[in-house]
This record gives sequence, C-alpha cells and structure tokens, in this order.
Amino acid sequence: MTAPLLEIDDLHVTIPTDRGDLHALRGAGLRLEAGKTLCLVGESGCGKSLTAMSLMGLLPRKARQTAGRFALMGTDYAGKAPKAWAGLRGRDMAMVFQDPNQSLNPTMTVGVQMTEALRHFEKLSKAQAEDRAIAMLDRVGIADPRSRLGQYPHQFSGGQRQRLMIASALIGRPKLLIADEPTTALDVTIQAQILQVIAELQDELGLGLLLITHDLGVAAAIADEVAVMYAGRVIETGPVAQLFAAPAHPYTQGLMAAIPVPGRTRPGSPLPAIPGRVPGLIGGVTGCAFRDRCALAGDVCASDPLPRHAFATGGFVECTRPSLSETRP
Amino acid sequence: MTAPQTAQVTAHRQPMIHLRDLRKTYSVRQGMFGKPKELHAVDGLSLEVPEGTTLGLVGESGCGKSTAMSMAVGLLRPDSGSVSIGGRDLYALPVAERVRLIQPVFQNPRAALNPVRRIGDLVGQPLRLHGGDDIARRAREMMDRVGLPTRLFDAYPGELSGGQRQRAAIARALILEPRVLVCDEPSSALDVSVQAQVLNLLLELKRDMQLTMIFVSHNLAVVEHVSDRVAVMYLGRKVEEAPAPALFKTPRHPYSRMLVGATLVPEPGHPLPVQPKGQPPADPFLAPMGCRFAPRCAFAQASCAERPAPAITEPARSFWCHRPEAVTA
Repeated sequence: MTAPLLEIDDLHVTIPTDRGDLHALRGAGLRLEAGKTLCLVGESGCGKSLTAMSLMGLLPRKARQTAGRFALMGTDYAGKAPKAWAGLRGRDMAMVFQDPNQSLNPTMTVGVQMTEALRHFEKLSKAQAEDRAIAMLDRVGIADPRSRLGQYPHQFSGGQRQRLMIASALIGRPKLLIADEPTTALDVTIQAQILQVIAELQDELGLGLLLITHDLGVAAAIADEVAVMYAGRVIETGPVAQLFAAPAHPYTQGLMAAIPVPGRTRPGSPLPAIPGRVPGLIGGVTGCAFRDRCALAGDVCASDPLPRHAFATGGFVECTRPSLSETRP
Repeated sequence: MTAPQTAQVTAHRQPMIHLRDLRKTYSVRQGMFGKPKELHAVDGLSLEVPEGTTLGLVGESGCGKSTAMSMAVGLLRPDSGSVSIGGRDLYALPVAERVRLIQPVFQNPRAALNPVRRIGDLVGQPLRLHGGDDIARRAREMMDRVGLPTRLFDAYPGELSGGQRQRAAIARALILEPRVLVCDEPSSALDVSVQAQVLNLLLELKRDMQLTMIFVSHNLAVVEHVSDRVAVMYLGRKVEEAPAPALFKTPRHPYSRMLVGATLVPEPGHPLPVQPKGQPPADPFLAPMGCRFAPRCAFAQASCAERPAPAITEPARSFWCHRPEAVTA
C-alpha cells in the first residue's frame, strides 16, 4: 500500500494574544489519498482555515505549531525546518482562497501573475510559460485566453476570477490542491460551474483535493471523505455516504438537522438549532469542547483523552457515548 | 421600456405592501473617459405581499434585489413607480410615519450597529428619534422578545456574538411595531447552527406580531423554508412568481429552473448539476431589450431578445417567457 498523499497527525497551533494563548488547533489530524477529495467542514472559528494555512506554511508569524506527523507523499516534515515544507508550496501543493479579489494583484496583468511560479520553479521562458497559461485558461473555461493574458483582474467577472485562481494554482501541476471556500462568494449557478471545473481537472491530473467549506451541500456533492471540525479538533470523519446517512457525533447530527432541506424539512417549522455557542479557546479546553451544548453530555465528557471509536467502513468519531458503535457500521 | 409586470397573482386579500412598476436607472461610466451608459438596475418591478405572509425574493448578485428593497423601505427614490403600505403611498409620508410601517434588517449586523453605542441605546434608538416614552423599559422588553438577555443592555455590539448582534438588529427594527419587515440576507453571514436560531426567531415573530415580510436571500433552501410565495428576479425584472413549494418543485421559467437545478442538497449521491459552459456572465449592459435572460437561455430563439416576454398566468403562478411550451417539453 502506498503512503497517503497527505497525512497530518496531532497538529497543534497556538497563537499568543493579549488575553493569553489561543489554542486554535488542538491535535487536528487529516488523511487524504491521492486523487481523492476530503471536505473539511465546520463553523467559523473551528480551525478549518487555520489548518489550510498551516498546510501552506502561511500561519501568522507569532503562531507556534507542532505536529506528530506532517507528511506529504510519505515524507514526514514534522520537526524539520519550515523551509523544507515551504519549498513544496506552489509546486507539489497549491491553494485557492475564498476571495479571488484578495489573491490577485490588481496592478499586474493576469499573464504575469499566472506564469510567475512556473518561471521560478520550472525555469521556463516567457513564451513557454505563456503557452502553458493559455492552455490552462482554456481548460478552466475562459474564452479567448491569449488576448486575456494581457488584461488586469478587474476586467474579469467574479466567477472568472475564481477560474483564474484555479488555473494559476494548477498550472504547476501540483499533487494537492487546497481550496478554502472556493465558491462561497459566488452565485449558485457559478458555484456549480466552478465545482464542475475542479472535479474535471481533478480526474485529469489525479489531484488530491482538500476542500474547506461550511456548506454541507458542497461537501455532499463532491467529497469522497468528510472531516468535521469543532473547536480545533477533527471530531468525526468518514466516507461521505456513511457520514451523511448516519452522523455519529452529536455536533454533526446537530449541524445536519439545523439546515433546511427542500422536500425534507417542513416549511415554516422550527429548525432544531444547536443551543449555546462555540467555547473560547484561550487557555485551552479539557475534555469534549462540545459538552456545554450537548444534550447527552455527562461527567465523563470533561476528562481527557476522549475515546475514539473507529468504524468498520472507515473514519472515526470522538465521543464518550457508549452506544456509538450502533449509529454507523 | 417594458410593459409593467402587473399580471394578477392570487392576492385576493388587499396586499399589505404593494410595489408598483418600480424603475431605477443608474448612469455608469466605464473607464475614466468612457461615455456614461444606462444601467437598468430595477426595470418595472411589481410585487404584492398579502398581510401576514412572507414573500421570498431570489436572484443572482446584481439582479437588483437590494436596489428594489432599498426603494421598498424608502432609502432610495425610484425613477418611477410607487410603493404603498396598507394602502398609503410610502413616499408621500413623512419619515416619522414611514418608519412605523416598514423596517429593514440587513445582512451584516456588525455594520448596522454603531460600535460605540450600547445595545440598549441602539434598540431604543428609533423610539428616541421618532417619539416614544418609556424608552428603556420598551427596549428591555423588545430585547427579551427576541431572545437577547437583558444583561446585555449595557454591552457594546463588539461584545456580542454574530447571532446576538442580528437579534439586536431585529429588536431595533421591530421596536416601532412596523407592519412590514424587509430582511436582506439576514442569516447569510451566520453559521448554520446560529442561522437556524435566527430563522426560528423570524418565523415566530412573524406569527406573533402578524408581520408581513419580504425575505431576500441567495440561499434557496432558506427561502423555501421561510416563504409563502417566492419571486425570482433576473437583471432588474421579475421572471417568475409562485407559491414556495411549487417554485422549487416545478420551476417554469428557464432561469428559475437553472437556479433550482444548481442548488446543492446536503445528500450525497446526486451528481453535480450540469451547467452550460461558456455562457456569458449576466452583464446588465449586454442584456437585450426583450427577454433579458435570452443570451443565457438554452431554449431561446432570436426573437426572444427583441420583445419583452409575455406574462404566462396560471392559477397561483406567473412567469414571463416567450417559449413556455419549449421549456416544459
């Protein structure tokens, strides 16, 4: 068996603040096989985006990071100099952000921005790099790519700018694409197009995709595996079909019940909301971070470490409830 | 200019709010020396909402939803057309009376609440501005009504969570007991568990206070959940209006079908919705004078772009299309 494309274990990120240390990631772990899609879901502040930033080596300067394992294609970088990992960025892995307006330099032409990494890593000539850029733009569905290389970002629409970002990320033929809410700022019709482009390119290039989203609809549509984060930890994972059919963690169950689904939720009926709010992570948390909002919580939930139950069909849940094994095969 | 969209929909009751043939045109200069062009942001929009019901308003960014709602609440004067609430012409009324008829709730409560004022002051502010006594007591009552702990009376907006801030904005909108509430993406900036709390609150308030609501959102599942009827807008015009369940189950206008088809449901196993590729973006300057959707429509013939689409009226539903037989076939 070959090593997974990406394997992260026991990832901790602490950010010092005026009010004390913020334990933003508290032992998060991920595993993504080559060519597959892992969706990381959760609410604001759960650490999804920070996980992506950590993977890309883009954490704030004052953040402290430790990991049990931090491996890409079988090579473990945990404990090695950050520079070694940073060298993978743009070549073996690339990232697409939510807001293309903040990722594109408004004063540079699209062609220069797209070919920058290519000329740096692959030492291509301007003409060679531009040919690659044109092929890539064509591939993501931008018409007349040659003439558009000389244009500036503002001459593209929002959906086109996100296509540009995808083209730029994939132009170096990375093995891993990290996409942080790539369609959240877009209209639903454009969202469907962008997801389609990503899915097609993924097949063509054998790309592993780590997609971060708060939208369970997006996760259901394109994920192979789903990981649910809460307060800096992955609390449940599994193959998409099993996880949606039988969510095991009370938080995952709550999240799925809280969204209206046409044809399933009765219009106008109260939605089962999750009471309370996410705990503050300054000074850290012991035991289950969800216990204050959980109807099933008991005294055992306050102590570390929490039991982890692995499912036969893949994935796990981190919860003290003993009846868990019956919720999902 | 297009014919006003006055096709009669099942509003047997006198509408509580009636927008009649609203038009707003902006003059936009492209580039520093470009000739100004006319942008028809809202182009003959008519809406009627019977008392105690909710009308959902959906459409892509730039379709004129927010411009129309700014005119509905009196923040923006239309070039032509009128707004009446309870049979009274909104623009003929002094502000002090207008604010007792209709109030808005916006997407971003952080921007809507002055950060240096206390929550109690903010909630009571409309009473102070437009006359009212016992302001502090009534503000406390209204906070209690929307589920905001009254201990937050002296808190600043920055001390509240996103959901609490939206509750404060709702409390302020309701303290003058308006007849109509216009909610522009009220839950879009919130996490799903909190979104459920806010939607539940709006549904409850609507029932208890006999509110009439216009609910604007790009999230179709949310709109279906809270609305009695739904109107779909495309580039400044209404293209379809129907009862919420019917619109989502059997959309008739090609654009409604596209929107509903692109919506991702949180159930794995559905293929990604197929979207036509290379379609032009919804550029308001390129829109034809006839059916504005024609350039993106799979069913369009050349003639569709020449004349405005005729109204097709069915029991409980209206839509505007040249080729309804082709679409349904």
